[in-house]
Amino acid sequence: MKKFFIIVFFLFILLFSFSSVKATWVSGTMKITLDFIPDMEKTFVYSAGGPAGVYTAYVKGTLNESFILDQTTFFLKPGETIRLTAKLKLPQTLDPGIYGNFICFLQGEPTNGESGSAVVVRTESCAIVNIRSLYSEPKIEINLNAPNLNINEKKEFSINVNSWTEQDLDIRGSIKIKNSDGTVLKTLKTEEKKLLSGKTQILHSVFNAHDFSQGKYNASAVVFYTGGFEEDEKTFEIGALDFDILNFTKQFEADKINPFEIEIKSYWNNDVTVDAVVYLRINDSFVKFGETPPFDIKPLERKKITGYFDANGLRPINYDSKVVLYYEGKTTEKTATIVIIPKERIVEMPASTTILLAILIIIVLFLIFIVIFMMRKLQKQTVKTIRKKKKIKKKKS
Amino acid sequence: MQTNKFLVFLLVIALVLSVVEVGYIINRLSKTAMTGFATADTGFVNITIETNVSVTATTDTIDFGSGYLEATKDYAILKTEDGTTVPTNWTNTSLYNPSDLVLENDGNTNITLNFSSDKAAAAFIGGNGPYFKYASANKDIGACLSGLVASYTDVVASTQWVCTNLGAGTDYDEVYVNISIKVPTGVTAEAKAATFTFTAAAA
Repeated sequence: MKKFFIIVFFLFILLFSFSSVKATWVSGTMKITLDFIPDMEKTFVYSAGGPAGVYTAYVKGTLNESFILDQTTFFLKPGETIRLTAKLKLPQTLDPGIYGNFICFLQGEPTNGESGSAVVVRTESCAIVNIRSLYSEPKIEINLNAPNLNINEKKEFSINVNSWTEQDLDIRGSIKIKNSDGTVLKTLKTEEKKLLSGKTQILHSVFNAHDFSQGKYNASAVVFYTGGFEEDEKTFEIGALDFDILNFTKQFEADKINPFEIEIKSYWNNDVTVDAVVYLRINDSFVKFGETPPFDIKPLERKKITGYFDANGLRPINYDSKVVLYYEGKTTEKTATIVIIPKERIVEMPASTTILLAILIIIVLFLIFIVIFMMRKLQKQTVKTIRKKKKIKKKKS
Repeated sequence: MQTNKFLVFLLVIALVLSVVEVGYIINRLSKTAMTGFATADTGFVNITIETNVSVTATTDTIDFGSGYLEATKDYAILKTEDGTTVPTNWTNTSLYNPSDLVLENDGNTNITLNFSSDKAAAAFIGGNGPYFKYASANKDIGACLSGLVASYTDVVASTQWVCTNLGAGTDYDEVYVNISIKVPTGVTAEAKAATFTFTAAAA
């Protein structure tokens, strides 16, 4: 037992303790983006609620002063729902950009009695009102979507284009497919489209992964518009129906059924079902000693799957082994040395020994009893003899 | 026997009269169109389902209990993930069984979930080099679609992410918030307090 200095120099009480439920909810238009119009006025109405208690409604964000709430403090009864009205009045001018604002319904601070001395959790739910102010000059924002696919498969690559300008624009795009060195392997062209002020367009192109090998690639998109361009880059993976066996259990105990684990990595970009079998080389041929049930593997997933290994009857020596993974009519295998170790033996006293021991104890107890009995008898006899001698002495005298 | 025959006769008469009367009423209804009678064979039901953002802390208590730093050590580490496992360099003087916070999206839309703490490590714990960290993890597999904070990150006195897209499905809408604290030497013996405010908004 380790000896500690029993000096209490720190008492740490960390309680996140309070009995009431911590929850809030708000219903209504929970996320909206409005384009800026000078002096625009708009009213938002929400329902809100939570467990009984005190709540605060407030607005946070860059234009929080443009909002007026009809009420800011609420005392909710059990099951009560409140109605919250937020009036927005935008200023006359606003610099280009996006202005995020949150209309929140916040639980009150827990009382001391509720929390003890505590780190307290409370919740708030918020509605989002974004105000977007467009640029007068041409400006766009793009987002490339480059999905994973398999060899010989065709998939659509797309570019989302958001207008951030008061002008209508003509847009067109191209997507360059590059390998990890940055070498351009293929260039895809999209259609040309008209992008209206403040709106969104999607440009498309189809990528055919024929002639590509399995691996990771970069897709680099450029969208051109009158007076400029915008770029975005994404990484995607081309899959092949192939697996790697990364690791597996290589030591088992003899004369028992052992758990068996195998870690695998899928290079296939679809769901696939796999199962594995463990073989040991016995007399120059591979014999099955273990297997896993079928497992569903997700696209490009790395996963540990488990099964059993039956080491009954195996001598505790090293064996050449191979693990074979079966999937979609294909296999992947890996070889290694598997070590069979002797089974741990728990030394148990045989039943006959236990019985003998019990008999022995009984005999010993019996002998002790006889000895005590004999000693007592001897003592009594001695006393009697002494008394007799005394009597004889008295008679003689 | 005769009485039975008479009763059967009466029954048949009653049935025939009933059928005739029902036919007559249906015939009348189709001509006169009473109040409440539907004149068109198509009905419309309008219902608007509003977006609902809702967050519940289903486990809102983390209790490390009370204890002290072992005197020969420079610091102790306490984690909510410890469960009943004994923390590092720490002697508990009460039950040690801290649990992670659990946050549930019980609205009908995916949400962003963040939190702010009113205290960072120095103000919360004190002493010579404390830390106060958090991490987030899925309670339901695939609950957080993006933005989990998988590795322990310092809690600072401003807004920090738990998950940037927490699902709203019944079976995949809960995440854990794990806490880890380092209690160094030189900490004042007292109860410590901090407040976490979790904020949910539509993703």
